[in-house]
Amino acid sequence: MSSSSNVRPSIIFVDDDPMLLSSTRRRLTLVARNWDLHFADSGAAALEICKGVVPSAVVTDMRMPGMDGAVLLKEIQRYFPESIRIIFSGQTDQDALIQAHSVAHSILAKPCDADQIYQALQLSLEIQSRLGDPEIRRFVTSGRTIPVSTSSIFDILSLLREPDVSPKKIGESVRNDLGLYAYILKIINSSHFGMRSPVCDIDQAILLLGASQLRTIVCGLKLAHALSPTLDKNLCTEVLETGILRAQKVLQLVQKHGKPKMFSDECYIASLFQDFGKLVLSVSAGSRYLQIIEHSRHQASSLVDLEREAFRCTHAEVGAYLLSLWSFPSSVIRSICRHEDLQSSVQEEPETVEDFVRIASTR
Amino acid sequence: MPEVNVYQRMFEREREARKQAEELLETMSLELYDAYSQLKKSSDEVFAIFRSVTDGIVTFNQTGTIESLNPAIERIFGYSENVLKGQDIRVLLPQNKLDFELDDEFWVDRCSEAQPKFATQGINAHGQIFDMELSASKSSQAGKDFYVWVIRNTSQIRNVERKMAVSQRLEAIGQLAAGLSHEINTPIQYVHENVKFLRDAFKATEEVLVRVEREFSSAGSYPTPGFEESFRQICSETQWDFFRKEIPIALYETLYGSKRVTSIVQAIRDFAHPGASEMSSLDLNKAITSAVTLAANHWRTLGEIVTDLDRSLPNITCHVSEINQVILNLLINACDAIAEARAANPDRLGKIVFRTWQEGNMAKLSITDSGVGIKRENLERIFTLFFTTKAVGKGTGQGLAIAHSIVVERHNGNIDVVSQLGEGATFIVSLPIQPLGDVPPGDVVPSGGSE
Ligand SMILES: Nc1ncnc2c1ncn2[C@@H]1O[C@H](COP(=O)(O)OP(=O)(O)OP(=O)(O)O)[C@@H](O)[C@H]1O
Ligand SMILES: [Mg+2]
Repeated sequence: MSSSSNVRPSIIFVDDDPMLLSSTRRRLTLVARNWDLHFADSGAAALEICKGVVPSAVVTDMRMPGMDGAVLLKEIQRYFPESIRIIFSGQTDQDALIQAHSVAHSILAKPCDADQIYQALQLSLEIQSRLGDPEIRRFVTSGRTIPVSTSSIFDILSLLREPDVSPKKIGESVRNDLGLYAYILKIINSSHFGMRSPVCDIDQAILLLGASQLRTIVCGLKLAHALSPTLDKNLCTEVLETGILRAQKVLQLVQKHGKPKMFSDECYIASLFQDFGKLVLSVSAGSRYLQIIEHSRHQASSLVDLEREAFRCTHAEVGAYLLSLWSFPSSVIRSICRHEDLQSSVQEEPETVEDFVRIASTR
Repeated sequence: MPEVNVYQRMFEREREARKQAEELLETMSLELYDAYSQLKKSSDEVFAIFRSVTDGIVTFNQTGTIESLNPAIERIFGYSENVLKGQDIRVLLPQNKLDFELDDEFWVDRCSEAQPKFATQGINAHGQIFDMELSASKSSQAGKDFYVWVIRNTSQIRNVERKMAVSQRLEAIGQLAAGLSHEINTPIQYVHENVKFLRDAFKATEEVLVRVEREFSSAGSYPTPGFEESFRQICSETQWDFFRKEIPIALYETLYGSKRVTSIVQAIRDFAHPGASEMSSLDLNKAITSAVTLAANHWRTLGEIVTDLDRSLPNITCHVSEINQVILNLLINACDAIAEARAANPDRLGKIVFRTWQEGNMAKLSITDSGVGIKRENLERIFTLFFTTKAVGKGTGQGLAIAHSIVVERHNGNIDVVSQLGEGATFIVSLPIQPLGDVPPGDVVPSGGSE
């Protein structure tokens, strides 16, 4: 995936420790040659920099004198809705971090490799540059509205109010809402939870989080994000059901090849969330998008073409973009992003997540 | 003999009258007796109550002379009734421990007003000081004023508090834990990043050397005229100038970061010192430095800490973890006071000054902050358990009460506060360098012992 835009992204790093900034600068000078790097020792200094450059991303420490990281990101979200917001913190207070998730796209725990930050962010920036419509780009990045339906929030909350509700029951309920499903994976896969490998299994995620943290998460969702009123029920059901079907086929295929669990989990997620972008677009563009879907059913032109025409990007790219901001594994992101690329040929012998998902979808 | 008859009749009459009188008297005395026995019964009851209550009751006159007392007083103070009667009431109080003048009116006024009782300390026949709760009242009888004190020994309650003290210590450290991981993870992060950089730098260095070596070997033993040119090219290709400038800084930061982590880990170890029951030796200056390190994440966002420590201060013998806890409690309070001041006026810079010095056989420590200060009417109350002006969930009002009980009871020291509202506060802790009443070692251990 090469960047279609020639503009060098401007990334601002914020930390009150001068040595942390200095070591990051030193390393990224070597690693992130295509970035314009900026460093600020406080939230106020970061906002000062923003007067001169529109940040592509802001990576900030949480606890700082004066303005703390979460507050800074709220400001950024407000004035630069298309900037990617990341917290890079040494803090371990889980509750505070979970709350910060409502404003940060992802949370990285110190210590963490600068290369890793570079790769994750670079992937998001690359996909972002494919979103031709600035409106869509701004809407999705700002994250104020996410594709989670209000009714599933209330279902989960009332489930969590029951004294000893089984994790299995919660899992069943979460599975019905792809947005919530993805959001929970986003949180459990944030590095402050210290998972050694990405968690793709929602039941495992729920067990790891426990009821009280789940409640914090869901309440945070309810408070911080406008849950979309335009999220269409039929579309949700359709995306979910085709996703599940596809995911089951992929699982059978992967099992035949005797791949490890991690790999099959990633394939499962990649196929389940393949059309997640449709939900994102329906939240972003409302009824306009529903009409486009309607048209594609009756006209000769494909949905993807109509999407390109209307938004200068496809649901594949939009979905991959949001999930990349939410720290989904890069193999999953690549698979989702390219699932509409007809040029990519199907491999004889499937290797990557993308290969497996493609075979399963065409069968 | 008519006279005889007359006398006879008179006598009869008189006897009759007397009998009546006697009868009357008898009924009267019976009533009186009843009344008396009623009275006696109730006074016995009162007396029995007076003698059997677990609270001590003592009365004294205007000059402070003890007039009566109950067995509970004997039990609480370990004196017998006849020893105490006629003594001055002050024998029950550790006068040297009072932070105000002993003044009868003071006690009475203080109790009769808003507070019906308050916590203070008593001293028993063995010289042991203990906590007691005192309520005082003034009465008068036959134009004579006298005072009544009701005293309850609360040292059992203090035992519970002591257990609370341990959990408060863990809580204070717990409060710091979230900040601590930040304190450790940040230097680890830059040490890690710098080491990776140095690895790359070494690769670059190696490449420069290998290529220069190649130049040399192809050119024979002397550099060819074009050597400078190609050397410059090697340098630019390997970004050698960048590495050369950055390597020393990366090394410095790496060393600095690892030193920082070491000092934090050291401080945690000092503070986690198990609450041993025996006293051991503590360097007060080091304890302060450790507390400052531990709480760094707490105060860094507020301002600066200055330490003005007497390097010649001898180690003190004390319950180490408890004194550490006192320092930490005072430091956290100072941070909170500054945070509060800054909430009202964000431009106001916070400053905390730690001092230590020696005064005779006492080690002294003071901590001054530029926080909100303490209202006059609160000055007396801040050491009371559960007194707090902080929001629910922020303060529990235990910190100073526990600090007080550690310093005063456990170590025979003293803790004082001076404050100017709006300017800040200074807490001064005095601790005996050697525990009071500790016999110098020479007297206990036979010199040149037989072993
Ligand atoms: N340095 C200070 N400056 C101003 N006020 C203080 C200071 N130290 C203590 N106080 C006052 O004394 C009160 C009692 O302090 P204490 O340490 O006992 O409890 P706390 O700090 O409120 O709660 P805790 O220590 O249990 O978390 C505080 O609520 C505050 O009003
Ligand atoms: Mg306190």
